[in-house]
Amino acid sequence: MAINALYHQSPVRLEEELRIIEKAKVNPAHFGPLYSRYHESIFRYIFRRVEDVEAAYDITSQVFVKAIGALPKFEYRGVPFSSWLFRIAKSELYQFFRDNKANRMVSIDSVRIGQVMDEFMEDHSEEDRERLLKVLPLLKEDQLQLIEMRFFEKRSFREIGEIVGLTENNAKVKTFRALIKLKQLFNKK
Amino acid sequence: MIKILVDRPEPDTLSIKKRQDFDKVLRSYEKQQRVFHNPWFFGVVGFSCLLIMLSILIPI
Repeated sequence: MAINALYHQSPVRLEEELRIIEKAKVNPAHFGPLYSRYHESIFRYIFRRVEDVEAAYDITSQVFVKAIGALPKFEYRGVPFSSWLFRIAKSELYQFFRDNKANRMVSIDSVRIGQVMDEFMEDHSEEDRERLLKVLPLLKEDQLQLIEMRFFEKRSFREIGEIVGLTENNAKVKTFRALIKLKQLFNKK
Repeated sequence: MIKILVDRPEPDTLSIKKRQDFDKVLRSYEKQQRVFHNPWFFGVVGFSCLLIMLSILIPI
């Protein structure tokens, strides 16, 4: 599985980041390095869920505006700063869907569809893949989110847990259950 | 309604970097702060609240 370098930071880098956060709490102008570091990953997270590219850029900006505003409340308790940002991104995203009555989107690489299919069966055809794409939207939103983060974005269970507010173990269990549900829907179709 | 897109082309790192604008983010943040820290904002909100309270408390 691919490692998210931004998530798995060295202690030195983590300390440096915490120093920047403390400075930015006093003066938001110091937030710049954190903005540069996380802008792309936050944008990609949003882009994969929103159809309009410009809207994705706007939501990304709004995420950072909100983050600067909420920064004085941020306390490091073992949860990486990036996960805190992703939580804000998730909340801004759902706010966008509500305000604009926009469609929720799921972006998938065809290679990753195959990897999900591997969880169901050894050999799968093009027809099976099409069937999977049809049943994916039938999952509940929280289940879809877990499948999306685990299989399409290749996040660790720990990171998923921190983004959705679950323990690592709970994230693992719930993702497994979501996969079973997906399998049931797939076999029903 | 959930829409599934397969193999949607993603913007490359360079084009995403070009769209980074921290000054704009900072300006938006400061603008928001100005609204909430402006005494006029609380003056208007406070006055409206007072009028609502009075209209409830004082029978016509």
